[in-house]
Amino acid sequence: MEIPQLLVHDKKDNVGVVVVEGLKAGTDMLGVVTADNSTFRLTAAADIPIGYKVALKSLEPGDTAIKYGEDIGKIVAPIAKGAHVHTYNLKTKRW
Amino acid sequence: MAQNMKLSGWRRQNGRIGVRNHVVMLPLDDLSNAVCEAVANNIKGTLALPHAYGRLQFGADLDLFFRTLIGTGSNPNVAAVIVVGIEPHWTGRVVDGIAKTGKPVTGFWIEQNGDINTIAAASRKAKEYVQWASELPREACDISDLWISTKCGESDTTTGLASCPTIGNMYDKLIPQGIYGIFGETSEITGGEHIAKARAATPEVAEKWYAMWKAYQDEVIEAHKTDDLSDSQPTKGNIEGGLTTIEEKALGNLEKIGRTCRYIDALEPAEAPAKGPGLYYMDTSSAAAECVTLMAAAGEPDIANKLLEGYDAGGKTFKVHLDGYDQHDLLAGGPDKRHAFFYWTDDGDLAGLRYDQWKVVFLEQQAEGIHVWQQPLIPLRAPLLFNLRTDPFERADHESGEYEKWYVERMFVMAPAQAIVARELQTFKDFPPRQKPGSFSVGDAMDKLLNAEHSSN
Repeated sequence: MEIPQLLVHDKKDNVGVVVVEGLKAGTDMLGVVTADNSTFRLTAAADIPIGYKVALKSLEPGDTAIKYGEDIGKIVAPIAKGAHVHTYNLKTKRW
Repeated sequence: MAQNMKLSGWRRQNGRIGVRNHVVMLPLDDLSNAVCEAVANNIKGTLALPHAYGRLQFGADLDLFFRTLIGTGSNPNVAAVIVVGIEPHWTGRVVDGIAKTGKPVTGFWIEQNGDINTIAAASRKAKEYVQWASELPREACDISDLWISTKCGESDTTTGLASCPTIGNMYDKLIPQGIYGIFGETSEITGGEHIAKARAATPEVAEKWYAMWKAYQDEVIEAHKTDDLSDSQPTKGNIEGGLTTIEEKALGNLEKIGRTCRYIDALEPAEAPAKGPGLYYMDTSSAAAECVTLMAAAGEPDIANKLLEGYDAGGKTFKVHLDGYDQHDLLAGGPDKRHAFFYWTDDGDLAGLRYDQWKVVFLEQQAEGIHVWQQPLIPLRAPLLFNLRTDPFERADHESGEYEKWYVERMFVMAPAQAIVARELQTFKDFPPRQKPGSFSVGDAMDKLLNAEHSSN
């Protein structure tokens, strides 16, 4: 059985989490949505460390990042599909 | 699948089950840490719990401090406790609080004794407690005897994917089996408050919870923040682990309460759950040491009075008469709450009564040395009377020529003594002895021999 590189909590999510070490740009990732075990494929646009987030589609400033099917903050810089999502392009809406 | 799940643990005097068997060295304040740590070094098997609190605290903060120390000692994972403080008053307050569970607890204080003498005295008591605790047997318990509290170790993106949903799955399976569960971390729910509020069992509990959460937002964060909290919540460690926002962290945290179970109350820090088995929220920080301490300290207060009425603990109903007294006043220099002492023989007979300085003797041992085990206690036709303040060794009846005159002039003491004995005996009607006393006497021995003969036929 193929081991997924990417896990996503909910069908509504637009970001997922890399769950393997040493992921390289260009990898054809197997993604699994844990809510229903459905699968999809996505090409990594950057080297992304384990535990870091990946954009499942291209995102623009002002967009809302969705994880667990919920709002986890606002996008503050353009993010390409398959690219790394973290503090430099995603901010909380709380403080 | 969770039907008939068993575990083995130590059932404590108040009915609660422990899965650890610690003898705890509990400092009242930071100045007493060194004594506790020295004893823990001397006596292997003791556990010192040093901390930085206990001085210059007052009001609600001081109440929380005492609740936390007493709750820690009362936790069923603790077999026995030694409390060490600077002076007897606050030390005694913690000792008395823990003693309500019925477990062994002794206090020592450093002033007027010095560190070295205190370490020596506490080490001797600790050795006694460790030897006693090490012989306590475990027993098979039902899973419903468990109280579990849950807390994130260090959040990252994988805790929301794996460990927290696993804990949530545990609650979904075990809360219906009758366990107590406690979750918390008020400081880490920002961004998931709509989910947490919706998981309350009733609208009243939801509002109680929301008031706690809102107070933290308004009175702590908004009142005191000097910048955007992006480096503090999530923490730097969380961010290194892949978490970007407080909302993301909160949603992962809340995976710990599963999908189906609902919390039935929102507790103050270290407050004992009082609504029976189920899931509880406790108003706590997400700082691990603080949160776990407060959850572990959620003991059961006032157990002695509840036991008189009949108290349900761990699925069993206990109705017992604990003959303990709250001696906080005495330790604080006030009056002794205990006036009466009853002297029972090893055969279960009432040999005497003491009320303050007066002692009334009903059974007298007239033999000496080894003969006290062979010769009977003689029931007296009229009891002997002693004033222990003037005659602590009870020798006046043998050594004083004035005893008979003194005795006759004080016969008035016998009437109240009868009333006190009658009242004590009444408690045996409501709370009969749980165990027949061991006996060397002939009647019992003949009974045992006859029973053995019958059962061997």
